[in-house]
Amino acid sequence: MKYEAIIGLEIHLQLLSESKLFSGAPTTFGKAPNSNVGLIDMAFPGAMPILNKKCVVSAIRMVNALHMELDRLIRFDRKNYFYSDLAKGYQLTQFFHPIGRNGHLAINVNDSIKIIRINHLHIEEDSAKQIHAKDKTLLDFNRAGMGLIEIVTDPDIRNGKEARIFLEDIRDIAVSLGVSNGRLQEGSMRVDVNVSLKVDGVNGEIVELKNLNGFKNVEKAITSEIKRQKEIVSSGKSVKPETRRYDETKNETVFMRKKNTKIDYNYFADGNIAPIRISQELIDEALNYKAAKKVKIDFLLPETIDEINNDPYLFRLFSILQDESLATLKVSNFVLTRVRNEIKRHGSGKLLEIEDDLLSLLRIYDEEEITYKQASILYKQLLEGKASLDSLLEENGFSNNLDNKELSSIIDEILVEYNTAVQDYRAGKDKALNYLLGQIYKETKNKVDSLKIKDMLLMKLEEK
Amino acid sequence: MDYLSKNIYEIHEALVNKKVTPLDLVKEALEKIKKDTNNAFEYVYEKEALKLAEELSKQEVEVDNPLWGIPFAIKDNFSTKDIPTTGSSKLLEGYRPPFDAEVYARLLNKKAIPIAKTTLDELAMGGTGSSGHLGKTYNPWDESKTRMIGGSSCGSAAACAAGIVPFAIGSDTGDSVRKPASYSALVGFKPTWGKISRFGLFTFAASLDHVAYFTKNVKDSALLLNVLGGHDDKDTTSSSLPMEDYVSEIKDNSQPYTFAVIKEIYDDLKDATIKRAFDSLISELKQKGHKINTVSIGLPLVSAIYSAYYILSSAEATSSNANLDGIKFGTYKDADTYEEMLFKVRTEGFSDRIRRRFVIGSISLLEENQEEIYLRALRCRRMIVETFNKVLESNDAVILPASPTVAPLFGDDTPKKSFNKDASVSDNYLAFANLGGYPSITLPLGFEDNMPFGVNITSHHFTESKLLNIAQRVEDITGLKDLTKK
Repeated sequence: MKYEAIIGLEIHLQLLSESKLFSGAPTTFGKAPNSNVGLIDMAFPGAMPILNKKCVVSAIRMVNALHMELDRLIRFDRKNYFYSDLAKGYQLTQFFHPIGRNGHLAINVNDSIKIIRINHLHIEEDSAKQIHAKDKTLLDFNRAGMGLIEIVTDPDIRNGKEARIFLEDIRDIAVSLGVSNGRLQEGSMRVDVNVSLKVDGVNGEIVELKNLNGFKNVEKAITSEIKRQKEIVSSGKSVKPETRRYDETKNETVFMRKKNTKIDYNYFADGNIAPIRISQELIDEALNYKAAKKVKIDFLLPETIDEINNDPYLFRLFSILQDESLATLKVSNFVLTRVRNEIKRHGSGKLLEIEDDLLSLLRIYDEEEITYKQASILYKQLLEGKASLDSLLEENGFSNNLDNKELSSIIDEILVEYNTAVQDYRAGKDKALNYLLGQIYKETKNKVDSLKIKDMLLMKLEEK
Repeated sequence: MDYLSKNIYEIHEALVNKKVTPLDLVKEALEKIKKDTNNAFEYVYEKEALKLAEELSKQEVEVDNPLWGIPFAIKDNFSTKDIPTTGSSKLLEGYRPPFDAEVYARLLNKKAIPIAKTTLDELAMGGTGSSGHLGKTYNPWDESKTRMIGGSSCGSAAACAAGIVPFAIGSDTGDSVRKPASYSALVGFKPTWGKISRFGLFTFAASLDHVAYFTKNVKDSALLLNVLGGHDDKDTTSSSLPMEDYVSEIKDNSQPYTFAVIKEIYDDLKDATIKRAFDSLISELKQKGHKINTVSIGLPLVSAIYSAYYILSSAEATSSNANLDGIKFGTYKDADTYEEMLFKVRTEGFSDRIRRRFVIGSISLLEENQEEIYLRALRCRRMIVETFNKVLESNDAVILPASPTVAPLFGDDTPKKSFNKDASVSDNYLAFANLGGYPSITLPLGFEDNMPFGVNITSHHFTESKLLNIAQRVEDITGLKDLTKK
């Protein structure tokens, strides 16, 4: 018998935007449940959706990057079904007129190029988050109404490796275009895989793989699922259409549920969102993204700026730093040494995973709550995936650094205690300065940056 | 003194001349509500209205703002912040919305005084004014309480017809303002789809829903359009076309207009009194130099209006009301599973009639039926609209009796009678203006045994100014305005 695995992917990317797809509610992560909620997100009667332009811009960028035909008339349809996480009782999606059709992406597999066709790309909204407690289900509508794009491939993928490479490429494109932060682990990128086995040219039943939480796991899950299907077929049985998940410890796929008869979603056009024609200006705005939003930092060399603008991850990180007024000299230095090193050695995968913590780390470093040395230790531990930033701060005891006032009073005490050294310094003996610094270091026990100590000491010596 | 039976401009004049204060008006309204027996109210703003009126009574009357201090009523399918809003459905009892509908906010901004939320057919589905959770709403013109006022905006019509408020806000998805207006001697006006923001109006069928309202005469209708019309950022389907001053656009000129009478609908009229009144209006219009064209568009197309409307509105309604699950607001019922809970909430929360409509809507959208039912209705809609577009391109307006009878008796009012082959096209045609989104106005035409009936005029998209001018001509001919059942 001749076997061929037929694989198609459905990828959801959560769009980066300050507000949701149809309401002005913010998308900030980690807020109290049901606090980031607009009227339409909870489907109050009479609430109306207003389409977020930023999400459309993101979709246009993706459509362009994936060589798709752009539908310039944006329309939304209702996908009707009842579920507790679906506030309106329907999802707003683009069923009849997806914004992008007929695209492709060329991937590099074992140094040869393979074209994966992309059937369509559409914009839709996310549902609420369900939290299953012992005897009840809790609903958090903070996620409800967040903008998503769904990318659906044609069944052109043949094995797990191709799927992984394709997904990583999609992730890199989405990340570098500022479309999504593309984190599979955190759910801002989600992938469903359809796997079937063609036996002697005859198509088999489709098995859907869900809840895959890492690129390597996608590859492994597909590989083991193909193996499983081959075993079934070669033992004379037939594959059943079902949904399976991947068990990492056993390295095999596990039954989740039978595929029901196809659900009928009663699709029809929504009448609360007027069709919107995409203007040429909007397309230009979307596609001139890089040119328009280049990183500009005065104190960096032009070569360095070029390097940042040409590296997808450095570009992304500096764009965020710039937006949050964090692109200071010390933070830039940290990123251009430590972070650049990691990119050179391992790529941006790990960095994307720890990005929120990395940004918090850079922020507290910038605010002088931790020293360079401490920041470096924490950064290393984050990359090793040891724990979250908060618990690492706790473990390392870095959360009790000295503030300026405390430092100032320590220096004052030292100056009084070692008055002779002060006199020596004023008489021109430079060594006396190092002596004083040593005394202060002892007292402050690495809880303050040495540069800062020196600055303050010199200032005080000038004053007196 | 009875001020609230007057029209808006008359009450405004009394306010300006200090013959009456907002507080007097509110007290008069509340007293009338206490005595009223038409079951028109879901919620009465007793304390709120008195408080607002007391504040206003201390201020100077805004002479340029005819809505200042005027009490009004609003249908209970408009969201009103912190004020109970039920859509006359059991399922929404106790719901207090967190926001104001745009039209309501604009009226508050003009210092008009909300006096009551009014009854409707449950969730605005129905034309009898009897299917809400509070039961039948009666027609003030019928003391025997055997006749309906029509629906779904039954409470707003009754409040206005009984002289409790000079104007009342409703909604019109099929004919829900223009039909009750015919049965209660009021002006009922639905501007073009998109002319007035729907933000805060419970969506029933978005593509057919219109904000509409009842007034005592045409000029008051023009005044309300000045305030309620125009783009709203919160409703992206609202039009950005420039507004006009619709009151001053009504001119006392003798410009001749061309009217179309749809032959199939006219031929269906059986009531001799209504026919005579309509004929005499037509001959007066002719006498004044207007042109009347009898236009035939074919009986099949006219018959398809109601069927298409019913399928499309039910299909949309089943989806639009899927948000009512008792989880986020409204009546929650505990159960072991989500499915059981949903079943309980929606079975106990809705009346039979609503449930039937949802089932019809769902069935028509099923993949195996879409082509045969839903898409066919959409195609009918397109054909109907294309036909009326043509009619309205070569005529200024379509004119017809708004109803073939006076207000019917309560009785068998199930929708099946509208579907059988004897269904009266003259009783079920008004929805063409919803299918096409045309501006459409009903005004009083005459009386039969002391029960009123009306005439309807419909013009092309965004020609409100012309339509109001035409309506004014008709009102001048009939002389029927500022009517209240005393």
